[in-house]
Amino acid sequence: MKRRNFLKVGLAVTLSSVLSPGLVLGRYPQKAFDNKNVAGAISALHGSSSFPPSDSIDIIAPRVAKNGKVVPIQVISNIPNTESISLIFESSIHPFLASFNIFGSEAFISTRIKVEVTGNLLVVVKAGGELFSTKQKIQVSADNSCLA
Amino acid sequence: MKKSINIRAYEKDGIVTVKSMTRHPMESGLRKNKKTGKKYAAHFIQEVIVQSANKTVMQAYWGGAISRNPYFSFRFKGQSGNDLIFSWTDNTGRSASETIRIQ
Repeated sequence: MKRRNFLKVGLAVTLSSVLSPGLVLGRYPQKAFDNKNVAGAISALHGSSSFPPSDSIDIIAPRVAKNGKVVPIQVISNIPNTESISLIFESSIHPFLASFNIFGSEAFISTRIKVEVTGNLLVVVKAGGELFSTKQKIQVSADNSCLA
Repeated sequence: MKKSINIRAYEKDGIVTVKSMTRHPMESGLRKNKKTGKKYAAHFIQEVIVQSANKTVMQAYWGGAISRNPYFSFRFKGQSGNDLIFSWTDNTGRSASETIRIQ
């Protein structure tokens, strides 16, 4: 009887660890990264393509990028209950760059991105189930292509 | 072998600032070899998870458009003395992790 219970419990534990993602909170949003359309990429991740502009998101990024392979950017969201920050570069072939899930109150991220052609960096913030956005233009010189 | 993750974290007034630098090629899969015209195979970090005191404090999904040897900094509410586990997984299934103590 004990052995039988042990088997049952063991099976349940194995199944649940296989079936449920466990520690992993979500799955890699491949559809958002593959989408070549800005609104399509956002709706693939957040399920909504309405992202009104907001003054409460700050982008710190160079207006002119000297090296398109390494463009430092910082994003600070002052919107309460920020859940996630997504980076989208509007003129890229694959506009969706990255998404950051925030836990807690500090919505600050800083990283470096590749920018191939001059365009707008669009930051979409999800807060309280709603989407907000801010844009900033980043200029790169023509001989700075990351693809070459 | 050199460590693939360089990470520091310090607390000030209850806010922990994490700064990290990971050694990774971050090949987007779009770049072409100029001589052969063939594309370099995609090889980039897809997911970064940072945990502290048994809680996830940051989860990021990256594409190939994050720069090579990615720098990543963020803040969260935490305490010095707690542990911080930074781990990444790339598109080839490789992963690495580094554990430090918050200063």
